[in-house]
Amino acid sequence: MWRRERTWSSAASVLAVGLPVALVLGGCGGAIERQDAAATADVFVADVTADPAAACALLAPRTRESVEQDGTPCVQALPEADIPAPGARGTVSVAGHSAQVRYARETVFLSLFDDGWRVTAAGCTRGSSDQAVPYDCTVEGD
Amino acid sequence: MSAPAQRGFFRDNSLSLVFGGLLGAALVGQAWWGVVGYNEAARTEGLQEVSWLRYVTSSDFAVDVAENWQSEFLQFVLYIGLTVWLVQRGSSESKEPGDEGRESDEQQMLGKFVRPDSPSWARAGGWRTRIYSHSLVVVMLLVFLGSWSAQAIAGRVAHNEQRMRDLLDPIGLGSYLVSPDFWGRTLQNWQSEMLAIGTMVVFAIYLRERGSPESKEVGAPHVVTQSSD
Repeated sequence: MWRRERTWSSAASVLAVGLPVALVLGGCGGAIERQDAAATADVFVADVTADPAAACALLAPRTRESVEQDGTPCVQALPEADIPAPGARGTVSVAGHSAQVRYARETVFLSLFDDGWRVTAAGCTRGSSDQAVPYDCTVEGD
Repeated sequence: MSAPAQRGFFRDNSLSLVFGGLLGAALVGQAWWGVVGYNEAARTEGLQEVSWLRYVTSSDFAVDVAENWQSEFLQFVLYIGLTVWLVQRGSSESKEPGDEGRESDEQQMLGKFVRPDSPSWARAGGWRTRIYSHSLVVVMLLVFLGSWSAQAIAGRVAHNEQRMRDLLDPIGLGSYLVSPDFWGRTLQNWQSEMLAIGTMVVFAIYLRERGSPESKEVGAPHVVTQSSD
């Protein structure tokens, strides 16, 4: 048995270095990522009524398809989607390619694409205190 | 280095080298299939696919690696430690019944029984010999704790990434440490390691592999606990 232990020990001592590196590079939600996600969400919530075309450009593809599913162009459908006025920005959370930006009266969810953060759901409010129940969102992908 | 010396190095270290190669190949395969699976899920949800490099530096990959590593090292910590005090009659993985315990200095080649070529910390005596006497378990334990911690940290990030995809709130580390995801990943690996090592202990009583140091000699009786030296 001792031979196997020594083999694993030497291999692990080398590879144990790689795991922390992967963890650091793996993105535990760094400050820059949180700033970028928050900036995208801020622009989106401000542009929903002020500049719907710009807000539509910040939607994730699947979410934009959902907004336009009845044939109405996004620039018309988005301002009519009953997204509440957000209020002051609160907590920003990033994990991997997902982000959540909380405002006083709504929550926005985002996902990271090659060209930056895109909104996957907006106008989200908690309908249940159960942490296993998703937010109710006025805009979200199918 | 001369050619004969190189041949000697590879021959003398063939077990470590082969396992190192197998480990590397398995990690590459895990990363390959992992990125395929990650991107399939991303396409299903209409999200961005990632490159192989991006995947192998992601928390998804890290937690999948760490959850297996921690269980392997826990297995060895328990096995090395428990076989000091516990025996299995007839198993080549066990000491002889009656030999339980730390054993004498003579058996362990310590004190006046050290050899000129014994490790320096075994010859040193005092605290260095005490530390060296437990160095295998200590290092295994540290790697286990490091891997388990890495599983917790990376697992929380990967779990929160999926939670936010599902329009759920992310959770803190404290909540993650009592979550089904953390303990499901942990215990599914622990049970398989305990099964493997327990099976090895018992199978080694009755089954043989000719030439392997992990087996008793083919002709050794079942009641004989250790291989003959």
